[in-house]
Amino acid sequence: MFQCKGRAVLIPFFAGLWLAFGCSESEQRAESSAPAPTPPVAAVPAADAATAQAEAEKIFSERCVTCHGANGAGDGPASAGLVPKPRNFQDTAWQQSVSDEYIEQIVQYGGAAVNKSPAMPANPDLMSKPAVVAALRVKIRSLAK
Amino acid sequence: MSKRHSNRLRGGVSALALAGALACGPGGDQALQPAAATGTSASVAALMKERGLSEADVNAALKTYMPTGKKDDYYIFSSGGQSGQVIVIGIPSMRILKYIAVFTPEPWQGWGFGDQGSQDVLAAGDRRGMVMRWGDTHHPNLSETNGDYDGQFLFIGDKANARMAVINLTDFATTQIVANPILESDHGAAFVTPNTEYVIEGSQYPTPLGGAYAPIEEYNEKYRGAITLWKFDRASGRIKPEESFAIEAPPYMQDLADAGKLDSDGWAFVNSFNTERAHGGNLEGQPPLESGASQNDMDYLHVVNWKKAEELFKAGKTVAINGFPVIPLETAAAEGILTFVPEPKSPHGADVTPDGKYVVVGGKLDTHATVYDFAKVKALIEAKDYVGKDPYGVPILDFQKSIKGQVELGLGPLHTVFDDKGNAYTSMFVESKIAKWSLSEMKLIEKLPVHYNIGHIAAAHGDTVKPQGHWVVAMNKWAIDRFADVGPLLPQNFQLVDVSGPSMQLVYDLPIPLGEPHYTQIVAADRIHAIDHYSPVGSNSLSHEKDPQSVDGGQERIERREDGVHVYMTQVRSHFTPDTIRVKQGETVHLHMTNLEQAKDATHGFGISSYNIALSLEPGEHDNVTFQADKAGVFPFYCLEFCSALHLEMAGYLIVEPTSPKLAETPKRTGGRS
Repeated sequence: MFQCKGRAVLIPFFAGLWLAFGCSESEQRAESSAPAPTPPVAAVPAADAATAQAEAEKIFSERCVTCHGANGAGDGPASAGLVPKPRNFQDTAWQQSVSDEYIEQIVQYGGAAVNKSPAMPANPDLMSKPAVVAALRVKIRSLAK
Repeated sequence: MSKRHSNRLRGGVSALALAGALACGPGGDQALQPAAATGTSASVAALMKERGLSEADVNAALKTYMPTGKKDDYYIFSSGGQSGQVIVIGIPSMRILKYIAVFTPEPWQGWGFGDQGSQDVLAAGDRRGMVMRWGDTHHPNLSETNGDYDGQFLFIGDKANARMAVINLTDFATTQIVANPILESDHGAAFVTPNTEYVIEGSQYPTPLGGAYAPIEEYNEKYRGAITLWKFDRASGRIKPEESFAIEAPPYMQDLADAGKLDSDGWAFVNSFNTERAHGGNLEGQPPLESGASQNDMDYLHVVNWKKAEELFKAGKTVAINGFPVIPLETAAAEGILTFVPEPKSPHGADVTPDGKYVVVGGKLDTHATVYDFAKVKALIEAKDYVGKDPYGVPILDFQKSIKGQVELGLGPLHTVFDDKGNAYTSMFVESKIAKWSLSEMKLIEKLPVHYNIGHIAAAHGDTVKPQGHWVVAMNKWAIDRFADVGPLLPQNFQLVDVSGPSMQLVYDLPIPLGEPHYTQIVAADRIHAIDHYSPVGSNSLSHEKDPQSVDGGQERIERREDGVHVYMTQVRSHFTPDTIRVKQGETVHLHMTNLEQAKDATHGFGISSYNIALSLEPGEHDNVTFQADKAGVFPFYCLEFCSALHLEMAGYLIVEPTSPKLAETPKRTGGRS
């Protein structure tokens, strides 16, 4: 009934489908109430890493600075009304006390996910962007004094 | 990304190809196909069978389906009809992206529910001192540079109240409404000149200009139409009424308009109907308006030399009507600013071709699209080669000498748009079809049924100097049997048509469930540069500059002054600071509220019970509200957007202490069992 010549055209279509399945794990995780561990970050090509870092810088300035401040001292413009105060990333003792995975988990799932202040919001759009989450973690680490 | 996605679909995925793969199934090239795919192909075949889908259906679905996270290639900006709003829709998915509040208060956007900025915009569009609470948006027009959409501004007219609005396309928000000081209704509005020097607003129903009174018996002598040219200042993003003017027109009913471009730049073309000057009176021995208005075989296409009109305006050759400068009809006629060409009766669209050489007119009660040759029209005007004058002294050109020709299309040709291959697409209201025809060969190519009673039609950049083709949207006035029943008031039906192939293909039906839209424009997504937050924090959404009353974090306070209680409040996930406001009954309360967030989508709302206040504080936005706390009691306020896991907790109280101790008593409970 149908001609098999259409198959070649379809392969990219199904390849896209396959990629979508690849993404579904993180999407399912986003919908679940209990956060899952952060997936290990695969080695990222340099160009992609630069892109991720640029995106992380932009996100940091737009989302994080409001409470944590431009230098991460926990003194952003919205910090005045917050109890408890936003985390001071310059605090070396705190930096040493937490793992990379812990920071990445808070970035993605918010403070409530680790029994910290729920005023720290989740960033659900980053759950499918591990390279950007990693770059944000690097940014946070770089603020230690 | 989305372009590539779309191109891939365009490039080859057809229903036949899909079905071919389905038939190949496990026999296909296993090395290249993921295991999941073969199972999926079988399930797609099963789905097709189960849902009774044809190959054409699957093809249409593949052309329009947008996986989550993928963005559309085009924006549709649609009028929202009597909702007074503008609807933003994506192509090819036809997902509704936004309703932009324009002439009607709209609580989600905090438009007209306490926010001083939006209330000032609405108040500026008052009619005779009354703030209008609705509008009938008709024709959206995008700002243009060199005759193509530049994606910066959108203009839209309000037919019901003769008003014009400006929408800033960085934040998709209305920034200005101007009320026409001489007209009561408009229709050919808005149409921009090729570099958005002017936004044209043509009248619809003649009245004595400037809000005056005259008995209807003096219709011919005292009633008039007018073509208003609103000066637009791109730098400030505002219409400048003080640099705007109008051209008086006879009491015919002026209709759709289009500005000339390229060869016809400097000119505008406005349709009219009712050159019979009927004005109803069917209980007074007169014919009903609509039959009185359709006696003549021809009405008049108004050919307007707006560049010359601008010179006359600047030279002061105007009279002031209700304080607005108007070039009188006799001056317009004598100076060659206004010339008529006969056009088939009761026309609707006057559409300039992309090269600016021709104007296509669809006569609703005629079977043709009439193509006027601008070079011929201009030569006749320059030679003063007239066949006569109308009762007001406006010169009339010879119809046959003015046209390139007529194309027989069928019943009810209404409005025409263009693609990138030299084709024209005309909506056929009476036939419920789109007619595709060749502009160069003046020949009908194909007709496609649409459902039903198509009014306007739009194509991607289809009324610019560079149409992009591919997509056409039919704006059908009636839906009848297309959607699940929702009572006697039915939605309209927008149908997306793929015109990229040799034959037109209907690929999607979108019900429009709020107001009856009229015209739309379709612009490539890459022309739109929208912001996702206001910066700096504390920006006024009208000026996009820091509001003088904006509140920095840590500076929240309540101050009592002579003019009332000033509350300087901030919002951040998930609290208001302050969250307790204590005032005395009768005090004037001024809320100055800044959303400190800069994160995309971190909008906070502010709603307060019993005081009719609803605000939308988008990231970085500042709003001011002033109200009288005239009702004693306790009034919760809360965030209207589900901003975080603690959204429900983002709340506070306005506590209004009664002036009379009696009011402070607990209300007596009545009824119930004793």
